[in-house]
Amino acid sequence: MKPAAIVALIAAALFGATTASAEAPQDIQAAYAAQAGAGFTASAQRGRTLFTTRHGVSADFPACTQCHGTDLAAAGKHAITSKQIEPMAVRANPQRFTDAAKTEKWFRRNCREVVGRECSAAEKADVIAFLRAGS
Amino acid sequence: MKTTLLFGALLAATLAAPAQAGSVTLPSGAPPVWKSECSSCHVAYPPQLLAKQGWQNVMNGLQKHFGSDASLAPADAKTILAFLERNAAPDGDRFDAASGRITDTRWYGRKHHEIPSSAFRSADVKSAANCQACHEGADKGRFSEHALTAVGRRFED
Repeated sequence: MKPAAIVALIAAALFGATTASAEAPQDIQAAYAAQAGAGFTASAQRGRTLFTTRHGVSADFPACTQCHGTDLAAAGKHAITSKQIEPMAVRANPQRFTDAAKTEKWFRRNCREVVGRECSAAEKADVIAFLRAGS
Repeated sequence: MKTTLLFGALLAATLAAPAQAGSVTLPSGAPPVWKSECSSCHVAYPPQLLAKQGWQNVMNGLQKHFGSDASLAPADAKTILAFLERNAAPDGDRFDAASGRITDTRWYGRKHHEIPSSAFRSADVKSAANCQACHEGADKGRFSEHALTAVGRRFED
C-alpha cells in the first residue's frame, strides 16, 4: 500500500466517525433534485418564494425570515432565544449545506414549524438553489 | 458540636457550593452531540441545573420544545439523555421543575428574585432562556454575579 493511501486511511479512521464528511452544497441540492423526479430542475426563484412567504402557521415563526432575516449574507437571530444564527447564504457562510444529515434535520424541523408540514424534495432543492445564489 | 451535626453542615456547604458560587463545572466526557444539538438555539444548559425528572420530561417532549420543533434522531436523543441523567441534580431538591424549565426551579428563582420581569422582556434579553445576554460565561457554566455582561450589570440590584 502506498504511504499516501495509508495516510488517507488513518485520516478516515480518525475523523470519519466523528465529523461528517464534507459534502458540497451543489451535491446536496442535486440529491434532492434527483429525489424530486426526472425532469425536475431546481429554481432559485421558487426557493425565494418559499423562504420569504409569510406562511403564518406559527405565531412565533411565521416565515423563514423571522429568524434568518431578509439579508441572507448577515447573521440572523432566533425568534425566541435571540441566539445568533450564522448567515444562510453560502457565499457568506461556506459551512452551509456541507452536511446532508444536518441539512435534512433542519428542513424537517423548520418546515414543520414554519410551513406546517414537511417540505418536499423539490422544495428543498429550490431553497438550496436560492441560498446558493451568488456563491 | 456533635460530629453528625458538623458532618451535616459540611455536607450542606458542599452541596450548596456550586449554586452559591453561581458557577458549575461542565462535566467532562460530554458527548459532542450534546454540545452541538443543545446549543443550536440556546446555550447548552449545564445538566446540573435541572433535576433528573426535569431532563426526562424535556427529552420526552422535543417535538414541542417550548414552542419549537427540536426533534432528534433517536440514537442522539438516547446519548444526550444518558449524559443528562448521569449529571443531573438529584430529584426532590431546589433544581426540580416538572416543566423542564430551569427558570422554574427554586434555585433559579432565588438567584433572580431581585431582577424585574421587565429586564427579561427588554430588547437586549428578550427571554430568560437567553442566559448569555447577562452572563458572560454562560456557555462555560459560569453564572457568577461577578462575571456579568454590560446588560447584566445594568439589571443587577
